[in-house]
Amino acid sequence: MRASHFGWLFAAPALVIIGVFFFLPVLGALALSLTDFDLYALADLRNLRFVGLDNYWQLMHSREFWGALGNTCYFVALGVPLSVLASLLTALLVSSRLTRWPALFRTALFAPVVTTVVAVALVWRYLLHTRYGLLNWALGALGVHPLDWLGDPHWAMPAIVLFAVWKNFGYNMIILIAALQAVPEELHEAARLDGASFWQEFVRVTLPALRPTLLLVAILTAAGYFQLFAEPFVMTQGGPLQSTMSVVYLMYDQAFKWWNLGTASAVAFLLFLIVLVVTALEMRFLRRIEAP
Amino acid sequence: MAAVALEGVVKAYDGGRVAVAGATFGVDDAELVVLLGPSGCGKSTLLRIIAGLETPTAGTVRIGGRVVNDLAPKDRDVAMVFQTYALYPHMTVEENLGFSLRLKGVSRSQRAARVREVAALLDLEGQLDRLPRQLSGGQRQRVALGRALVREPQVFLLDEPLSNLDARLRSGVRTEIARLHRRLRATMIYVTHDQVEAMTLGQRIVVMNGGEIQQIDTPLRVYEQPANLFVAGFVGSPSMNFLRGRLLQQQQEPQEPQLDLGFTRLGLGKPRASSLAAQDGAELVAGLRPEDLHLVTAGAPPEAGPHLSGALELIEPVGNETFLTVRVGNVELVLRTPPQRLLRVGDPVTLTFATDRLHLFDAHSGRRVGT
Repeated sequence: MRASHFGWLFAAPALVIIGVFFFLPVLGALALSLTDFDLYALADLRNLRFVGLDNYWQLMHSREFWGALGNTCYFVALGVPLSVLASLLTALLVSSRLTRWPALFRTALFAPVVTTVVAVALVWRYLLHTRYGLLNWALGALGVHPLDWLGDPHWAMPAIVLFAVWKNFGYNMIILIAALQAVPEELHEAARLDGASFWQEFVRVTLPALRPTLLLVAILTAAGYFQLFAEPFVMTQGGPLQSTMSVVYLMYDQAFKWWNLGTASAVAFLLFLIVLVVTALEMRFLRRIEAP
Repeated sequence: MAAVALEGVVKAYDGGRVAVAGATFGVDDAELVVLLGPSGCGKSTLLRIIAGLETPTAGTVRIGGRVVNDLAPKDRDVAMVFQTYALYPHMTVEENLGFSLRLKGVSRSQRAARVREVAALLDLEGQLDRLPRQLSGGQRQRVALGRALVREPQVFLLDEPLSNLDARLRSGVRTEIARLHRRLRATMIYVTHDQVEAMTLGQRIVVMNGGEIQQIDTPLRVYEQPANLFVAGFVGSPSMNFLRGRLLQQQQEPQEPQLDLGFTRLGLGKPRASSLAAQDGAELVAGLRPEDLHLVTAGAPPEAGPHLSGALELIEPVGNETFLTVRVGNVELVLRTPPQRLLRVGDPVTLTFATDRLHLFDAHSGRRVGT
């Protein structure tokens, strides 16, 4: 009894901080999402009304919300596999015994992760420029007509995916390098003695050993990518034709452009639920694979 | 099965470290040769060179008469059992055993039959559906052996296969390996730092130290006729006692050469007079196995042979026998005796030995002299 009291005492500072700065705001947002908190309520709290689930109801019937959700899912579905693939490829290259100066490459490839989105987005806008961009210049060399990357509703999201992958793969690369190093060298040697070719060794020995890490990395990346905001905010402002409008961007617009804080809170909560469900499903999948 | 021949095999790393300094020896078809030496002596490197996991800096490796220097590991038709077993953690025992056959494109039914055969041989039939992490250490070890057996390779390479097992299991698996070797008539090269494994398993032992081969011989000859001081000290437990001194040739009768130890003189036996004739004044090291030293019981009729007097320093009973450490002059000698109950630390004791049990080595080169 006494020991448990002391336990709570020791945990109290951390619990208070988590409570005040995490749970309280979340509960506040939940409460907010059940009201019509807007510019008028901001001016005079007496204008605040409790509307129940009306905000959610409205969102469920808004084409904007479904469009933003569709865009976000498109981004996640395209971005997560590409990110993980890029991380895996670079991790393999950097870990290869044939690679010279691996530390240099590791640092260079990790660099995009620690740059600020806004700064590099400006560089990428230039890379993606229809007439002067490096990307179109390279495509031109291959005989492909220049693409209006950020101005074409079909290509704006892929361009954002490209940028996000470049920006983020370094982080997962580091995790995968660590996982690769954890695979005992003898396993590779045993496979080579057993007669495995380079490809067979990769598919049957390396990849299965990496599987739990790959899934973990995919889950973390997906959870992050669902919160897509800064990239379209800086590069396309959600356009063209709302094609890069993400859920978080919609929330931002609702909150700080139209001051519909109630609706914005509802958007935030819906996204929270979606990420929760997706992550739970992925975790379940991961657990099934890890412990058959 | 095939013979293995090494000729002048050298492995030097960048930076000048030499792991193997010129190894030349052969392993006959169906022979079990043990590479024995302390850790870092180059024995594992040598095994990995034979497997093709390391490239020799110089020299040739032949398997079945064919030079395999430029062949990839998978084309050498050798199987290796790793110290850590290196089982594929995500595959069941059955998949682990059948992996090499699967890569070779052997049909599913043939594969299953062969796997079952090997599993039966190693008593693993009940474990086929389990993953390596669900097995005990001994079972994992058997799977590692089985993975090598399934392939029916020309040569088996075993790299300290027992060192991760506890003592009780170790002797069991050791017997198992000996049995398998006899039954399969397989060519095996077995690396260990454990002399008991080397003595019991090897038909011949290659003793290595510092990258150099010290002696290649049958286990008994390695024990009874160690080629140099290193082998003499490394093989045998407790290890051989060494007494360093200067050789004196007696001019008068009896013409027995003696070793001046400083605190006493040690007769080396008349038969050695001729073989040591040219070495007068040389510095030698005399070696005596603990079992060749005997206590002289007080009151018993004086025995022939040299005597050494000293004080008992330590008594180590191990049950069926007792090790006694005796300080004689400035050296400590260990002797192996039947269980002792009457002696106490500090007691004065006298030791004797038969001079023909003495091993003599040149103190500078370490080489055996005057056999």
